[in-house]
Formats: sequence, C-alpha cells, structure tokens
Amino acid sequence: MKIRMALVLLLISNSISAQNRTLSGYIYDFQTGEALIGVNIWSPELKLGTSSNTYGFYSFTLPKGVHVIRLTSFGYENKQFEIDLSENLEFNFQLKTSNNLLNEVDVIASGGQTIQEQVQMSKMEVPIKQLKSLPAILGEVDIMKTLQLLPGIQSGGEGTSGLYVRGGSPDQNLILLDGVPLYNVNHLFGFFSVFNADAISNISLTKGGFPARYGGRLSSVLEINMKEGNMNEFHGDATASIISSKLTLEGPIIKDKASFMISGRRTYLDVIARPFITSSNNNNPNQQTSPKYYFYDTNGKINYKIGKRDRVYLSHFQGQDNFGIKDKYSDSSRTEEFDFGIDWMNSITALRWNHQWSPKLFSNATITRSLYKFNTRAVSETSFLPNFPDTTGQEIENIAALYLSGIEDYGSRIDFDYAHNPLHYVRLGAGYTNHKFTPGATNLRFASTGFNLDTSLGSQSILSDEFFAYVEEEWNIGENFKVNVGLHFAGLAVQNETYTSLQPRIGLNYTLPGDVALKASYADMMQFVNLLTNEGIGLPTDLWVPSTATIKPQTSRQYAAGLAKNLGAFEVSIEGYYKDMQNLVSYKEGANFIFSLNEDWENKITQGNGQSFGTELFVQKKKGKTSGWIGYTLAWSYRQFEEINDGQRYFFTYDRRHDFSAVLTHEITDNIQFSGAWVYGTGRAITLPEYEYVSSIPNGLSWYQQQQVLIQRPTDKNSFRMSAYHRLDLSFSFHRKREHYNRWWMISAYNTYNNLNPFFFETRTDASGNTTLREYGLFPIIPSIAYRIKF
Amino acid sequence: MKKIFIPLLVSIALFSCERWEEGIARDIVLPPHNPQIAASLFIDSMDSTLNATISKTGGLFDTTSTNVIKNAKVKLYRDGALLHDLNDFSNNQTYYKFLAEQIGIVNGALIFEVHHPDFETVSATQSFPEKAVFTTKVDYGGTTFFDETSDALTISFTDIPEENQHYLINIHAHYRSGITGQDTAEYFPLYLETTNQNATRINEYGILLSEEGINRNLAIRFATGINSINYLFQLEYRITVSTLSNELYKFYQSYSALQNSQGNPFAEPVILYSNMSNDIGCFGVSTTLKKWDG
Repeated sequence: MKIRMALVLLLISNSISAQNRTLSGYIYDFQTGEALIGVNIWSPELKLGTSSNTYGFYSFTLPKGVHVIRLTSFGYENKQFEIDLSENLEFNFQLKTSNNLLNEVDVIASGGQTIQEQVQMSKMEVPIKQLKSLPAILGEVDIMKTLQLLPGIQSGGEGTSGLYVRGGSPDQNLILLDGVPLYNVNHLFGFFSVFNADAISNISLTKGGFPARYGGRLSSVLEINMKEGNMNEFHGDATASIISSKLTLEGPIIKDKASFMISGRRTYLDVIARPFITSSNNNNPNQQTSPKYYFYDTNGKINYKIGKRDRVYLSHFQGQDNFGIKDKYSDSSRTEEFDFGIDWMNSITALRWNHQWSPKLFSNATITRSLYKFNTRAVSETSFLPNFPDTTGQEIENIAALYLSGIEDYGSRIDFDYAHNPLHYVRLGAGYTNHKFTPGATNLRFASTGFNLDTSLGSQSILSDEFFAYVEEEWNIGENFKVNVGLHFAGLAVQNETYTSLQPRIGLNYTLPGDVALKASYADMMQFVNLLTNEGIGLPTDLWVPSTATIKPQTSRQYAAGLAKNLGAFEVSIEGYYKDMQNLVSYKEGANFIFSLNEDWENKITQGNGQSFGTELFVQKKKGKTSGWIGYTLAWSYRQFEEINDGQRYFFTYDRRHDFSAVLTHEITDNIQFSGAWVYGTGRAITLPEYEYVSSIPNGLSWYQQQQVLIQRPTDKNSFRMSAYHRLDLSFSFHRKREHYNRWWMISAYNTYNNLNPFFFETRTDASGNTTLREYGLFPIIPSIAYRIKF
Repeated sequence: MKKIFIPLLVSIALFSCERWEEGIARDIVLPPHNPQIAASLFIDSMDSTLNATISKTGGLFDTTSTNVIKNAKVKLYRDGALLHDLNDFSNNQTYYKFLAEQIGIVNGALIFEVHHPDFETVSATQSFPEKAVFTTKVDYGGTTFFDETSDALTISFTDIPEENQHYLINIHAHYRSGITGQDTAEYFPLYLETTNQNATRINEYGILLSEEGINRNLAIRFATGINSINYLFQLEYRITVSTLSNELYKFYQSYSALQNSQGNPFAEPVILYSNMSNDIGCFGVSTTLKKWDG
C-alpha cells in the first residue's frame, strides 16, 4: 500500500506541462569560489522556489518567459535579476558576503524560505559565522557544545561532548563529516569535539521528521562539511590559545579549477606541564612520575573541476588523543616501572564525484573509509635481585595487558537529485558499507626469567555488510500544503543472518490562517551499530559493537507535530514528539568490559525498549545588533529491560525534565563583540548505594561453608538525581583590521560563576563510621585568552 | 552599555571567587534511611535443618546499621497450614528448625512468613520443582581441557513440558588408590569447561543451566580436566543436580553478578533479586539429585 502510494506520487509529478524551461547551474561564494549550500532561489512573481544542494547545484524549472529571480542566503548579499527563459539556461552565480554580522542577519529575514515555509521539521542549522561569534572556551569555539544549546539536544553533563537527542543515546546520532560516519567525536575526555571550526563550512542537524535519504540511526543526523578551499586567493587563519594552537591554509591549486584546504590543531598541555613535572620529580629522585596528555587533529580537502559538469573532491580527517602516566621507582635492589595509557583515534577519507547529467538531474557518487580505534594499555616491568643465595644476576618480570577495540568501514553510495519542476523535487539513491568491528580484544603478556605467556582473549572481529536504498519526493500540493514523502530500505547481513527494514517517512506542512505553519512528521528508523557505555563513568571506555545474529538491530518510530511562525525579527517554533525505541542495548547488571576479559561481549549485554516524549520551544532572533536564541525542552525518557531493575521501567540516565538555554550575541561597537550563553538542565539520573542487610545464601554460591553475607542494595535504577547542571559562559572579542591581515583578541570564561557541576560521586566513610555522599565537579571557572589572525 | 556590563562582570567575578573557596566537591545530605526487615530462607530437598536469616536494613548514609534481629516469628506454611515454626535462634544468628530427616519434596504452596513487632509482616511463596530427569555418559579421554586430553562428561536432561527448568550442576571426582584400587574417600570439586550457550558459571565449580524460553531436552558436555587414562583405575564422577525454582534461579544469577561486580568501579550496579513482599531478601527452594557415573 505504501509502495503504491509512492508510485502514484511519482506518476502525478510527470503530468506537468511541457512548456517549461529550466535554469540550472552552481552557486559560489564570490570571494572564495566555494560552492554555497542551501541558497534560496525564489520567484517572487510565482511564489515558487528551490535551493542549492550540498554541492551548490540548483535546478529551477519555470514556465517559458521572462522572470525575476532572487537569490538569498544567510551571510550573503541578496541578488535579484531578470532572466529570459525562452530556452533552458545553465548559469553559475556568485554571491558576495555581507560585511558584518548585522548585515548578515538582516539578509536572512529579507527573503527566501522562512521557518514556516520549510517542509522538514526538527532541523537545526547553525551558520559557521554565527557559531564563531559564540563564547570560545580556551580559545576554541566548539561545534558540539553549541549544538547542545539547542532545544531537544542535551549534553551528557560536564566533560562530555556527546549529543543526547530527544531521549536517545549518543550512538543514535549519525555524525557525517563530508558524508563519512565518525564514531567518536571527543577530544580531551569530552571537553572538546574533534571538529575544528576553522575547517568547517556548514553544519546541519536533523533530530526528527527524517526524510528518506537519511538512515542508519534512530535519533539524529548531524551533517558537517569541510571547507573546499579558496579558488581565487591564498588565505590563512591562525589561532593561539592557552592550551592549543591551530592553523588553516587554503588557496587555489589551479585558479578557478582546483583548490585545497588544510588545517591542523594540537594541544600543548604536555609541553607546558613538563617543567613542573620535572621539578616535582627532582624532589624525589627515587620516584619519577610523568603524566602526559595531548590531542591533535588535521583536516584536508582538495577539489577539482574536471569540466562544466564534473567535479571531484578528496577529503581526509585524522584526530588522535593520547593520555598516559608513567611511573618509575628505583632503589638499590629493585626498579619498578608502570605505564598506563588510553588513546583513541579517528580517521576518515572520502572521494566524491559530482556529475550533472542534465539541467534537472544531478548525481554524487562517494567512496569512503572510516576508522576508529580505542586502546588501553597497562604495562609493568620489575627488575630485582633475587633473595636466593644460589642465584645470580637480575630477575625481570614483565606484565602487560593491552585492550584494543575499533571499527573500520569501507563504504560507497550514489545519490541523485531530480528537480522535475518547482512542485516536485525527487531524490533517490543507494549505498553499501562493509563494517569490520573489533569489539574488544585483550592481549595479556607475562614474561619472567624462564617463563613466557602471550595470549589473546576476547572477541574476534565481526564483519557485516550494510546496504540501503531510498526514494523521496518533496511535493508542493497547493499554495498552503507541502509534503515530503519517501521510503528508505535498509539491510544488514551478518553472521549468516540478514535483517531488512522498509521504513516509511512523511513530513507535512500546512499553512494556517495568519501564516502559521502546522507541521507533522512520522519516521521509522533502524540502526545496526550499538555503543556500549558504562553509565557510572565518563571515561572514553565506550565500545562500538554491531548487530549480530543474536543482537537484534535497534528500531524506532518517531511522531512529531508543531507550529512555526515568523514574528517580525523573531522565529518561533514549538514542537512535540513521541519516540518509541526497540532492541536498545545495555550492559547487564554487574557487567562491564574492563577486568572481565574472558567472557564473550554478547553475554554481557541485554536488549530492551525505551520511550521518550517532550515539547520543545525555540525562539530565535536573527536580526539587529543583538541576536541569539532561547530554547526550552520539557521531556521524559525511559528505558525498560527485562534483565535490569527487575524488569521495571526506569529513567534513562540522561532523562532531563527541564533543559533551558539562552544565547546572546551583541555588537558593542564595530570592533568589539560580546557573547554569552547560559544553560540549565535537570540533574542526571543515577543509581546510588542505599542500604545494606544481612542475608543467607543458598548452597553453591560460596565454595566454603558460608551461611550469611552482607548485601549492599542500591537504589532502584536511576532513581536518584544529581544536582542540576547550570553554567554561564561569557566572551569578548576585540577586532582590528591591519594592512595585510585582521586580528582578534578573544577573552572568555567557561563556567563564569564557578558552579560546581557534578561529574561523578563517591561515598566516603569517616572514622566514626558515618558515610556521606560527595559530588565532584570537573571544571571550575576557566578563563582563557586567544589571539587570532586571518590573512 | 558600559554601566551594565562592568558592574555585571565585577559581580560575577566576586561571586566566582567566593565559590572557588568552596572547592570542587560538595557533600550531599540524603534523607535518613527507614529500616526495613530483610528475610531470607533457602530450602533444598536434602536439607534436614531449615535456617532463615532475619535482619533489619541499615542506611549507608546515616547512623542506622544493619544487624540480625531477634524476637521475630518465622513460620513456614504449606497450603495455608503451619508446616514448621523456625523460632529457635542459633549461635550462627539464624532462626532454625532441626528436622528428623531430609525435608524431601514438599508438595503444595509453601509460604515463608516473618512477623516482628517493629516491622510490617513480610512473606513469599514457593513450590518445590520436580526432580531433574537426566542421564550421564563419560567419554574417557574424549576431549581436551586447556589443550590437554581430558574426560568428557555429558548430561542429558529430559524436558518437563510447559515448565522452565533451571539446574545447578556440581561434579566431584572420586579417587581410588592407583595401586590397590581402594577408595581414598577423597572427593574433589571439578572446574568444568563447557561451551553451552545456556550455561553460566557460578563461583568456581558450579554451572547454572536454564532452558528458559526453549522448552526442549537439554544436553551439556563438560571437559572435566581429568585424564582417566593416566590412572590405573578410572575415576568416578559424582554428579549433583539441583533443580531450582524460577525465583531461586534469578537469585543465583543476580548474586553471581553481584559477586563479579564487587570492587569494580566500572561495573553496572546490581540489585539482588528478591521475591519477598517488601522486595528485600529471598525465599527459594530446590530439589537435588545426586548420581554416580564412571
């Protein structure tokens, strides 16, 4: 029935008159020559429009004749012109950036698709220029932290940059960097994300009402595109802050034909701390302790226009974190060395080919590789003189435990955009990904004089093949009614098991009297990867595991409805949603990956269901010297697993009843800008030890004859709330234009009023036997200063 | 604008400095714990003494502490009629009742009930499961154990339709003198290796096997870790199979998870299974059968 409906929609779209002509081409930035995404192409006379796609391509079919066309885009000057469409025309446009933020925000309200005209609901876009004006923490503007300020999107608390979208967990977000999935977006234990804002051109996040082209995750799709590189001139952008520095270079390789962008960032906490560590170690020559932490990431992109209709892109990203502590003790009789470390890395590569088949048909073919590795090591080496009088020489004992996990994906996909006419826009495509999961392999080594053991425990790699196909149509049924309808087919072949799913998607937009848009959507989703995370800790011990013959894929159904309206300079929207999730994955009670090495990971997990529902209010001001937004979410999120909490439903640990954020940017003068962000969220739901009692135990539970034991009983699962989270970040930016460059001083403070936001808790028992619960914060106020130049 | 910004920033800075003094930790005061009764009783068909532990709970964040409590009335009913009164209090801090012989399989619904003047009465109901029906077979030197030749022992259980059977299996090796063949009277519990998907290890020597959700005959094959071929007299194996009630099986599982997680900060919290009316403690029953093979 659903398939028949989709076919009928396609047939109707073919009945449009043949007296139309098509204007098509690309839209570029005038200064950089980079393709512009989402530029609105509008016919004021016919009240019809379209927009440029991810590669700047547009196709606009109108009746034969002369038309006025208007181009509008956030941050760019409007362009309006008259065009004679007696024949099909191919025309590339260039838009000039407006000079300052004030002008930029004036432009957006002056034309194009407003919030009430968009069919797709639950989609958030943060222009990079607006993002860069928000408070910079330690000199770094963080994309993930900015997204966490939007309604329906929550942080996991202090020290995490994961996104919790509408009651979902971080693994339910498909994070695409130039179309390639990224599995871990954290640097510095979550304080920073891996995205370097200087290397990014565009961000959009969809948290519901998913069009059929999206799939593979239950809760959101975050698309981030790297800059393409300036086609016209060589430029650079460098920032130095207290803990890190970064440099971005871009320019033409062949003018107007090929360009490059390369960007790198590294922290130097390890370098700064080295003199202090050395000084500390000098005070105790027998004991040498050397902690170390740094991260780096690099982005690079090359693009080449092969002809008028073809273009190729090669993008690469690599990021790595290294954390470790080395400890060495030595005296006359023995030397003990201990090395503990955690490191994780992401690497992605994408090769894309754009081809314009006709004025109406555009395609993009992509091949990708994504790699994520997470390693833990604990190595101990002891050398000592033995006590036995008949032995000579030194004995050496070496013990090493290495824990490795990761994912490697090779993928390909092809997408077609077919702009039949302004009433019908069709997208279709298909893709395939080969996953290689290493859910957790442990290598144990023990070496002593005359004895060697080297053994590997844990799971073998799991290979799986994921495939999908989709068709989607955006259809303007009448002046007041638009729909986006589609089907997404997804499948996974793993361990002689094949899962398939046909997922209907629909989005509706009906304009009520008073220009209020009434929107509704429905989306079925399925995902084949799972993130296992210990809820009690915030360390990056999260492990990615696949769906297997016994672990069923996660599925969800999401219903959403809302109203949207432009009120002068303000955009106001309110949305309600209900999300029902099945086959969610969690550790069983008592299970963990660390220190439990010889069990199969599938035995440690269990599957259950979840529900989340809530309401989101978003008021955004984009116009004037003062801009910003207010977001509020009232939400509930539950989980229910047969093997957890005695089968009773419980709050998801990131259930957040109230989530409020206020973001403000104000231009004090032409050269001084102030920004601030305040966020408040209900405390995290956790499980605490609550009381203890004496119990008998039955036979067989103790191999010695023990009859009674002391049992410690925790609270019901996630029934205790940590303190509420709230934080104020402030930032000032001072700009000067020099002869050959622009420079900025940026002064900022994270957690300005120094609120203790709980990160973890511990129970403490004093000498008199009284136990107390203590919450620990992670980050106090963190002031910072950064210097940026752009040339 | 300066008139607003500067005083605002100064105020925030002062407030922030004041908070700096408070440090990065904060003690949370929790409401005092309301003590409750915790009752546990486990009965096996081979038991000739019944032992119940009755304690009161103690909060972990206040001064109330847990301890075994006296003056409780501990009763065991069968189908509503009093079966046993466990009102003697032993030196082992348990309420007990000596029976003249093994309790055996008691038919009907058993109700464990505890009364205490300071607490609400608590109770739980159990029924003895049927005895396991199984056959055993030893395959001497028929498998490997950590790459060494080992005896293999297969236990085949007959399904009881419409019931979920849960078994606790222990196996002991019984040695004879290698020279004379005389009984040494030595029984050693065996660490058993199995790849059976429905099996869970309990402590070192126990295996939990469940047919939950399957309802069919079960068979489990163990590597015993012993190679009888090395002995002049082949070993005897004593197989002990306890059929557990559903509730007792859940208790075993959660207690095992609790034991495995203790002292591990990375482990998920475990709520020990309870079937008592106040959700604290457990009443479980099992039926045990011992068999020799070899």
